[in-house]
Amino acid sequence: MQRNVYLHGQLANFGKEWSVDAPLMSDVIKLIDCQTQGFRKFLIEAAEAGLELSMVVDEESIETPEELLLENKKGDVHLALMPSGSKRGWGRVILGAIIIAVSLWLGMPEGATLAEVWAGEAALHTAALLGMGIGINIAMAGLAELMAKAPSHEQGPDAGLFNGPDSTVIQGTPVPICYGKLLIGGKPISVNFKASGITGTTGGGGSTYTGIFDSIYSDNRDWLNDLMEINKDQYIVTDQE
Amino acid sequence: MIEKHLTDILNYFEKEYPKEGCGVIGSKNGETTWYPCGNQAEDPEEGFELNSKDYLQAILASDEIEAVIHSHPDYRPDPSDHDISTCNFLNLPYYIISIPNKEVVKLLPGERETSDAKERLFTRTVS
Repeated sequence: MQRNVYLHGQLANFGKEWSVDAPLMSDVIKLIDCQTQGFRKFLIEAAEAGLELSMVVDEESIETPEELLLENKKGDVHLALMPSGSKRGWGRVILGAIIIAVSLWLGMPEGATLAEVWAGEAALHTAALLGMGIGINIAMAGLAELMAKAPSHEQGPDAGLFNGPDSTVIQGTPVPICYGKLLIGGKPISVNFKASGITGTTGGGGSTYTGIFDSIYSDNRDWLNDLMEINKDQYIVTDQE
Repeated sequence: MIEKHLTDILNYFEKEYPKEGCGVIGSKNGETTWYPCGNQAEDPEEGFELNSKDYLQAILASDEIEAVIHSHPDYRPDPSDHDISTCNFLNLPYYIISIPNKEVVKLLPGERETSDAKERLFTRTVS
């Protein structure tokens, strides 16, 4: 169906007003991306900077990524980057990242299954593959952060030092001092979760471009296994005094 | 720019307390207007995110958005990394007001870098 799409704020650099024939919301983003240079890159950078993308269709805002795939969303579309912030540190960008990823996901060439894309075996154009990798990685980083809840502390009698970090990492728990030859692991004092790839890390809400490196170096990844093999022995038995 | 609307802004932020209050200042024909917006952040006491519909109304009613204003309830008005990053990207000045102390901090785009800016830059260069 024919509809108008209005881009506001920074997004207006990619055209203030569009008249598109797109039944799905995800098609709207895909279409603008095809017609402009760097729209996709800009959205990804915005998500990395911690900004949500707001989509308002016919005076109703899109709240969940599934709505991108509904055909009953009729009417004009307004796109804008929503100002946001957190009191301390970084907030999470979930919806924006997923919107981008869903839109890019559907940009996959027909006939390519997900498994083929992940394995990098499909005869895809390299650029398309790299773009997908970035989109998926951003969504994965957001999802992974969502899933990484703060460690819980078991209050019951089953809780013990040897259950793993979950049961002991809490402010104020005593730190045991052990003497002699120890056949146990250390006690983590602080556990930090960070979604990252092999090549480096970014702050929360960001992501690394593992997808690119996975596809480029998928053949040469044995070095990582070798590295782990070499270091394995050093961590089994620890001598302490 | 903010002085003219400061009373309205403070009244709104005090009403929103302990949640973070937020809104924008838009200009039309040289006149500035204060548009209070709902906070649709997941945890509105720890962060803010303008309600999409309120923000859109402010955009449509004005020629240009001039500034983004939000409050830090029970916290110092210094910008966090997230504030700095979004301020720089949107290229809009941020005003941060601590409630109930009523201290105002102005953050201009490009004025400051996030504490992990180097790390992020490095990652982008590598990839």
